[in-house]
Amino acid sequence: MIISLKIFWIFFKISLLSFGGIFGVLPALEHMLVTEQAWLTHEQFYQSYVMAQFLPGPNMAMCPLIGYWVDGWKGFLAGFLGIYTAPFLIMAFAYWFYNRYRELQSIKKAEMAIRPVIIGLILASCARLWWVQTTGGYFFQTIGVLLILVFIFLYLKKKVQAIGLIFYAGLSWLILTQLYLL
Amino acid sequence: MFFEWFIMNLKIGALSFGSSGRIMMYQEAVVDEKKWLTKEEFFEIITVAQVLPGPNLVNLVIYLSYRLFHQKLAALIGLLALAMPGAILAVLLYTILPMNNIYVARLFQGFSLGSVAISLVFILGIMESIGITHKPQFTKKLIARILLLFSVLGSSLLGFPLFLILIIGITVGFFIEFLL
Repeated sequence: MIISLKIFWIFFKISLLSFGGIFGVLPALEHMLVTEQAWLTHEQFYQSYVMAQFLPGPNMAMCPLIGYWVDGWKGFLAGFLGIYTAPFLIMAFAYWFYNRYRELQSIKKAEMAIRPVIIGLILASCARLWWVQTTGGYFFQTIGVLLILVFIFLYLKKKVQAIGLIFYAGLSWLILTQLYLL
Repeated sequence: MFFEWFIMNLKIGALSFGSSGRIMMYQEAVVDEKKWLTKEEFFEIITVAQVLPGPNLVNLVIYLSYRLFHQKLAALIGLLALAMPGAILAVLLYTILPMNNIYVARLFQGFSLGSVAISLVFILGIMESIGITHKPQFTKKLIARILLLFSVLGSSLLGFPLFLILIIGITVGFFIEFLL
């Protein structure tokens, strides 16, 4: 029980530190879990990160997984609650606040003003994802770009829907890279 | 309507990869299909979700639930449906699937590339509304473009912490909106 509470507390703190995704807090999380608590090895820590990248859902999925390693299904629950409780409360507050003040001109203006920054962040996360997922040299990276462009075209022409597109992209990438290696 | 919301999140949570691509899926579901929100309102929600601490996809879902249904229960349903499948899969797969198998790895890489494509479509669609392409004053347009470039480079090549980017972006953005 004590361990589960500890797991909850660590992930709760981490969720408050994280802006955007889990990337920014990886070092802090690693420090707490590997160095301070010695629950995991560095190797295991990165394995859990890679797993979560591969899986559907938010990449915070690594937190319940780590909880599971440390303390079984109890730990799983502690990890899950730990990482999602704070966002839940914060967004409830944001809703209340925004609902009350969104008609104010200054709030509207502020929201408009930071839109380019938000778009930039999404673009950067695209670039990062592309870079990380097309390892194996320039050839793979170029093919990756072409694949992305083809699927953008198909989507705009309404040939595929978002979820279908992701599956087709996965299959095409698998086939293309295997063909090249032959 | 709650049930519909549950299924929608389950679909996105269990069948999708790569955080930014899923923003587009929510837009497809909530704005294009159900017409529960306008594109403008949807983008306002994304901004709030990105600026506040917490994983942005999860923030988006919780905030979206509140805006659509005005209830905690809806937010809870949305969150569970989105995040549970992946978390349980992580534990199950960890015990079964060889993630270092090259075919499995390539397949998942491809999923991520697909989600990049979707995110880019989303950005194309939103460009107009954020004043990058259509803004009356030349200086404002210029500043918007510089801010965009700053946040792209800062968060990718230069590796600035997200917090710093948001602070600088917000300060400059405020300054420009109120003074020009």
